[in-house]
Amino acid sequence: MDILALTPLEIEALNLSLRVAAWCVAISLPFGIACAWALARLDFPGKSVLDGIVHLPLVLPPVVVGYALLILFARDGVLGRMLASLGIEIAFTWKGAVVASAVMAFPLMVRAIRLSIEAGDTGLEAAARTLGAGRLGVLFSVTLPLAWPGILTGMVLAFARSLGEFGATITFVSNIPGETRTLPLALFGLTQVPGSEAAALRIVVISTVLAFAALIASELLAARIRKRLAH
Amino acid sequence: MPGMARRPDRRPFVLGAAGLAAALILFASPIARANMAPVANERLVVAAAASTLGALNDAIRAYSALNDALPAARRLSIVPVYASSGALARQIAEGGPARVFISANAKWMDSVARAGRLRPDTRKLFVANALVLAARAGSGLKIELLSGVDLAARLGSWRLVTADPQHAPLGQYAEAALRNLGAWKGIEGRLLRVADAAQARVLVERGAAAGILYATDVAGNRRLETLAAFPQGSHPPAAYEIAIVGMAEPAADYAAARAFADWLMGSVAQGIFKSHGFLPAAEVR
Repeated sequence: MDILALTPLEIEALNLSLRVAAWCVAISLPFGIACAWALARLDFPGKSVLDGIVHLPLVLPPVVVGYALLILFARDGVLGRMLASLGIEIAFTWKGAVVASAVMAFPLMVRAIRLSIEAGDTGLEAAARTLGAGRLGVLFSVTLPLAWPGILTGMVLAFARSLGEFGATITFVSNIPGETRTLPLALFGLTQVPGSEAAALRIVVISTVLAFAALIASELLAARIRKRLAH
Repeated sequence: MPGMARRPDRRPFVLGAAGLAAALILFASPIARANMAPVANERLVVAAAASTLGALNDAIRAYSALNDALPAARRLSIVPVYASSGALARQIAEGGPARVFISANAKWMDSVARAGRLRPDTRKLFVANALVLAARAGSGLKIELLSGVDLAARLGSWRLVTADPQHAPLGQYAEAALRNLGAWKGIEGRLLRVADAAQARVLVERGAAAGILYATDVAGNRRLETLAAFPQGSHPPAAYEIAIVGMAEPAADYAAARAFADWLMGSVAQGIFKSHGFLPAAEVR
């Protein structure tokens, strides 16, 4: 049974991956909902620009995103200096790993939420308005509850994307054991080392099991929500 | 209304078409063609430690100049692949296409030999290097590498970057040196581990961190300054090795690889490496 026990390196990378992914979802959710709602329901100048910026991480090479973050947040960077004066260090810390995966996952989250907001019944929203609800009231009592399956999908997608984030993370926060060495980075490190095929394979298995579990969990949740919404 | 709906549809199309046109122009232009490798009958892939990047590129240019004098049919195109020696060793052991391997330590050369991919009789000491503590020019850092030095305290808000000790020789030498000075435990948690020596150099140049780099990456580099050299004997000597890969390859391949590897050991190539700060094989004690 020893073969099933995780090594300290694996536990460390797994814990870090889960922590980074959880924070990634928690931090991007409010922005994701706001952005998706604005794109789905509002008309404003520069909307296509906002749309483009939100989707940029989806089409840019992740290394470009990581390098841009490094330039912004490094000790000489515009944001890096601002945050340093507040005593906050992002580059090369696990918080930086959260930022990197949040940026990379953001378009996926926004797309999922936006689609389900757009699919929502604007008639119901209009009815709520005529019954005296304000814009925010409509958002929280009608739009978002109806869009709940999409929000959940967006959260799961962002979580999964964060678990798998590699390029932006290794460029922005490098590979520090216990700080930024998530599962994909640990796997990358091991694939570089001659003679560590077995250790690399174990991380492949762990990553696969984790991703599969996340997918099944989201399917089960989505099914329950669909049933509840149908009633 | 229909007019308004059409506009957002058309914009991505126009952008896409413009992008495609730009790409076509770029690929068809003489500039783009000049940057692509010339069509050659033979391609020789050389896998080399990332720290040899500047010197080996110069050497390859010199060799190609010799090569250009040959009739077109016998011209050789040398394709360097740079990464950490460990990563390259792993790729070669798995059957990668490199015919010449330059490793920044003996350990990863051994691992390729164990995989049965080396021609053992061709394995030689190539050049040697040294390790320094470096920072971006004008960093204001002042550090002496004495035994028991508290690097973390001396660096203050600076982090320290080097190549990943798991697979990059630079990182392995750096870890050995830091352990030797009794400084490893104190700095371990603030040590950034990047993929290879070249990436470590780039991060130090950017001012993202101070770094433990090869002396050859700092010498003559105006963007960097040496804070201190590591004392001799604080780490195993950084000795690079060269060997020809592939026991079962066609004889023509072997001849080309052999010719290039022999030339690299000759005075012209060794001189190029010396001008980049490496210690030539003949001067290694």
